[in-house]
Amino acid sequence: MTHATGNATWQDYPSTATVINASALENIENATDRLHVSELGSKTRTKRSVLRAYYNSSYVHTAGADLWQGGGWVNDYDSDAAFTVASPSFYTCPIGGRRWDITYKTNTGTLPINANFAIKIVINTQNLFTNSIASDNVRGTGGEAHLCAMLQSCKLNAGDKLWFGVYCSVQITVGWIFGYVYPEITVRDVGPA
Amino acid sequence: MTHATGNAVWKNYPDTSTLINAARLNNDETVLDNLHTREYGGVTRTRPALFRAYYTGSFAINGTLYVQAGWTVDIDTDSAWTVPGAPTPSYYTIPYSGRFWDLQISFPTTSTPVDGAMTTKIMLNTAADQTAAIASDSRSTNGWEGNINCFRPCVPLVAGDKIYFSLWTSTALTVSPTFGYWYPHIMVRDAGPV
Repeated sequence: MTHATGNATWQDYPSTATVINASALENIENATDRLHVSELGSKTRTKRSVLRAYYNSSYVHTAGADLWQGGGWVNDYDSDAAFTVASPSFYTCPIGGRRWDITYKTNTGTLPINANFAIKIVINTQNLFTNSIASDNVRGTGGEAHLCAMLQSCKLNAGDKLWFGVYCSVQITVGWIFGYVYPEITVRDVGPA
Repeated sequence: MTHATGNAVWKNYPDTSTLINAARLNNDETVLDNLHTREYGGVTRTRPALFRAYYTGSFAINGTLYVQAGWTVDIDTDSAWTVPGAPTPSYYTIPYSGRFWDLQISFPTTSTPVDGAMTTKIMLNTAADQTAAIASDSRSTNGWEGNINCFRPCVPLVAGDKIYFSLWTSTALTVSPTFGYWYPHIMVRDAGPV
């Protein structure tokens, strides 16, 4: 095999060594189809699925409360209209047979010393104690604090739902700081399962 | 040039201005070859290399512990994960050259001591966390859950390079899945051409 298509190097017509027949032309079509499916998820897609949403406001988080990300999130880009901004907000996986990078970040300008600030990415059943697939937490230092829960190359099925939880042991203000450091959610297709 | 192939727009055959000749057909082939090589590392590959494994049980740690046996392989496209068996460290062998690689290890624990520390490292070619680490992360613990995630993107590696993973804690901890499905994870993936 010379080429990714399986075709040998072509020779000028007329040539019986590399006949321009249906088989050879279909090989070219099939290689193009495979690239589309592998790169994009199907022959009819023209780019990979990606969501990026951010929270450009702030709220006071009640001490000891488990909360879910709700309204106020801005869809920066959502190729498949997969992010539902509601109470709570959630992401619905649009394509099966793919792997996904899921990243959920949030922050506060002041986290008291030794306070615990934590976030979770939760799948399908909205219960952060039993259905979390990624978590992060940080110890307060009295200054700013940043959390980043990540799961990379994770296989999801079409229709899987993701929720995004947040907890803090003390009362803090959660939201955007220092200009453009926003709480942020990204979910992106990173290739075939 | 109209197309990525370098070919002009085709006209219906027969036509003398856009001959279906070897040059134009090979242009089509070459573009597909280049796409395959750029995306997957070779014309015969159909996807980039990906290895991902997780740990569903629990283990005690107090000091340094290298990733060994017992990890569940989610996917290993190139059969590159070697498990010699405990206590020998397991490792991933980079399957082909000319690429950048994303490397990652994360692990959680349900409870931690106040003022403890947890760290994790990724090593190149030698399982020696003090001398061969190429990525590291640490966390001060606070008496609650503990989570650590070490990620290094776009590392240029060559075929045969070996990647090891280690964990360390300052006090005795139990590493295990937490909150349902948050497992210890390790991952190596082809991130594109160098």
